[in-house]
Amino acid sequence: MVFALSSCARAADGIGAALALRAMRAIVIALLALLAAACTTTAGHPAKPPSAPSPTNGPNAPPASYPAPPPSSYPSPSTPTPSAPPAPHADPSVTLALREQSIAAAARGDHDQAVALIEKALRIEPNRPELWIDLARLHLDEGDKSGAEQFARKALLFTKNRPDLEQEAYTLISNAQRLH
Amino acid sequence: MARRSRRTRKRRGLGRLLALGAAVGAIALGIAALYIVYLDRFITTTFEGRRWSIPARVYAEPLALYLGRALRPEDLTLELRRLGYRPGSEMRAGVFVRDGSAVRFRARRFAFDDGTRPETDCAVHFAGGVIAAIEAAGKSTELFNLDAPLIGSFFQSHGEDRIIVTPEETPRLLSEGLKAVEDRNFDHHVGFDASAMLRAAWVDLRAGELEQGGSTLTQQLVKSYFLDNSRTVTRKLKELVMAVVLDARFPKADLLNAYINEIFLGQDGGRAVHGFGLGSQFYFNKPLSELEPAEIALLIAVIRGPTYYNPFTHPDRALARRNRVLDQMHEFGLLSDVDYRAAAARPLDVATGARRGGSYYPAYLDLVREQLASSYDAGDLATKGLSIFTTLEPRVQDAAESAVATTLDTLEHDRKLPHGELESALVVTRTQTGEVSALVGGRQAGFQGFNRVLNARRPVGSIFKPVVYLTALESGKFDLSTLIDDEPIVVPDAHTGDWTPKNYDETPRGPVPLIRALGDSLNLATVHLGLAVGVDQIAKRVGELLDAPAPEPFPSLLLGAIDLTPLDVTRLYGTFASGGFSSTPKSIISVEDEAGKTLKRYPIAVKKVAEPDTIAILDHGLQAVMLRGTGAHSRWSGHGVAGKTGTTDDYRDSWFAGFDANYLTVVWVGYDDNRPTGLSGSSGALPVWDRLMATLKPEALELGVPYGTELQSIDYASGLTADPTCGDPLQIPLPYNVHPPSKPGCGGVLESITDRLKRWFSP
Repeated sequence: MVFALSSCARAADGIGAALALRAMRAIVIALLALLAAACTTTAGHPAKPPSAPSPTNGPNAPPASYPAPPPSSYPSPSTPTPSAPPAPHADPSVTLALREQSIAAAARGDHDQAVALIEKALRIEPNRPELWIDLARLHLDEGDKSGAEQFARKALLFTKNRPDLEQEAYTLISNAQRLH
Repeated sequence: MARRSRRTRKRRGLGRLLALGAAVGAIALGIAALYIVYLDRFITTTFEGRRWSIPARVYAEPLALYLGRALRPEDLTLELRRLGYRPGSEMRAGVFVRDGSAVRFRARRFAFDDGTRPETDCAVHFAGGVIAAIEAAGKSTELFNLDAPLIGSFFQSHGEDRIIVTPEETPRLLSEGLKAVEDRNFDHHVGFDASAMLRAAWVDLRAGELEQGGSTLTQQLVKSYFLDNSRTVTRKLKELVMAVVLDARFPKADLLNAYINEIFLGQDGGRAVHGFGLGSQFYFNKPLSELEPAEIALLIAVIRGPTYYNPFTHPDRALARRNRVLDQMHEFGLLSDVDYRAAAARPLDVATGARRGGSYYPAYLDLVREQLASSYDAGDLATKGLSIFTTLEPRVQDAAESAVATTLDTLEHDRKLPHGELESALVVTRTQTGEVSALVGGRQAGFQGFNRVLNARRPVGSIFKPVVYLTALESGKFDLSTLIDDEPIVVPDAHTGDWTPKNYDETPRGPVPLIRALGDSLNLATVHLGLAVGVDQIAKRVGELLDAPAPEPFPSLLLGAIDLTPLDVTRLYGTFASGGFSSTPKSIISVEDEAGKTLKRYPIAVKKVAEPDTIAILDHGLQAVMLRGTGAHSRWSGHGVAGKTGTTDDYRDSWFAGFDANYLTVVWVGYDDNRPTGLSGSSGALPVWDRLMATLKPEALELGVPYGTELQSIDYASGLTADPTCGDPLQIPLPYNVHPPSKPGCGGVLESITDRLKRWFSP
């Protein structure tokens, strides 16, 4: 569990979770950096990382890594031309800080504020699955099951390289459905 | 005796007369006293319980400064200037300084939706085109929000608008200056000032100009607060009495503060600018507490005749009067010699154009009003002093307004169309949350008029087609390479007679792959496809995607014979741009009352209405539109963006919907009276988007490889397997079991996966 926010000891859990999250984040960032490095060595193919296999894939699943052919051999204008350096994104500490504040708000019972802080983070990093999972969890805590399920499904859009979060989202979906 | 008695009688008569007089006098006095008692009660209760009607203020999203954000120092100083901050060396609220690769400023106290931030010293350090470090109040932080920009207020038509200021927020130079200029005996008189009135009458007689008022501040307050504008003797008397009562009942400090919040300072289109708080924003775009002496003097100068001394229209008069005010301040010892000379040498420096009193985005406010309507009526909005926080991004809004204006000018010029008649509507939303970042309701964006985004229902034409293709892909019977007949067809229709659709160039293409039918927006192929899928299926699907009743399943629906507003189209494409999740385009984050208590929140809500993997396949098709099809001439073709053009019969409506990873934009261009423009979606609306994206900087979509498919190299025109040496291939996701035959002339041997991997990892 990266981010537990359900038991009575919310605050304590929150801090532990935040630390675990930092560690996790560091690993993922390192992996992403490696991936990015690999991509740039192949003539700067615009970011479209090959998708990792989904654990739910059956025997017909595609090969683990199915990279597109290197675009270097492609004459333009048929392929996306590598534009200026990709827009730099928020430092991971930004979202982390907002999530920690959200945990604190939830711990003192300020649900609206906890949600508002996650929404603020989503305006900065809309593709970060943790944030949609946070929203799912916050809505589930408030008894909004259908909302929770929708946010967990939304999280699944962005968990291709994060089996742990994918698992978490599915757990939330089944919890939400069970409570219906 | 007789004389005496006559005298006595006379005296007696006089006595009676006196008694009568006294009685009448007593009655009159009594009436007067009663009237005064009545006025006293009326004034006291009205004034004690006074609540100025304060229109709801609407705020845009604050600019978030965060680590890693792509921003240059000059971008930040520009944003600060827009908020009315100014460069300076002496650090105080509202001042910034550029310091090498850093920008330092003192942020104003600001009431955000989640609490009030006190005045804060902030330093932002830049490196490599991004924000590298942020210090706020001496501590390093990840995120700092600038003040939320005010984008308008909901005053009633011809209603008053004001920003209430407390005595603590009032500069001493203003309160003392008001007395010096308007009412020198304010601290001592009883509500009126006879000597001032006489002096004023004398000056008026001699000069006949508007120099001497003679009314005390109290009288002016009474006039503005309690009375209408008639100029009769009784009204003047009433004013006098009320002033005396008010003066007797309330401390001078209260009266002065009331005056400062009440007095009329100018007209801004439909709203009346009242009070120095708003006056300061309106004329100088900054809070009252930050005004310089020359600026305070101008506001005082304007009181006497907001039209006559209007600094925007009569700068010379305004400047001359301001300098007379400065003279009086100096004479009164409120300004030192040095400060006086410096102030008198200053130009008027009034805020320019749209930035006055907060930039105005009337079209966006229409959406906010509409979304508030279920909870708040117009009266609440105009009077209760609510704060409304929205998702408008001024940077995006400004870019959108200028993209519309510039593109329409260019189109009219290049195509020799009558000048100034083309109209447009545009909406920008964030792809993943549906929050509206910008909304342009017409060509003159600053003008409150017909809002085409909300109210113009127009046929959508080909921009509808993706619904047909989505329904086809969802049926499981089609993939992007499936060949579709682009052949003439006659569709029997009981209502309208036989329907014989045509391609825009009237040329059938024969069998084409589905991706090209979408990309080139081929009508015949789309009709063939739609009939195969079932028009009723497609009608049902539109209803679901729009969260509205399904339209009638006429075959012409397949080519977009349905009237929608640009906001409806935004909703439709929101699903395509967000991986299959629908959300109502939303503009409001929260509403707070006067005291800063949250009354209502409008949280983000999403609803899955399509399978993400199917949407990803459709999006590959919409990318093909931009790479090879009707959008290929876009300057962002090849930047991983997706979009679709739409043109209606006889070129009456020109549509474009486009999205990248961050923003979905829907654009309409046409004439209000529905006559043809000669513009297609790709020649009219698309260029508006092109121009907008130059500011927003498109970021490629990450569609990944949908489950159950693999990317194959497919020739766009024929749908056959090809490689770049023998065709014009795109990488498109096709089901594993689908392998189109090789294009003639192509090797026909697919490179093995291991070979590809080898090549991929070789240097």
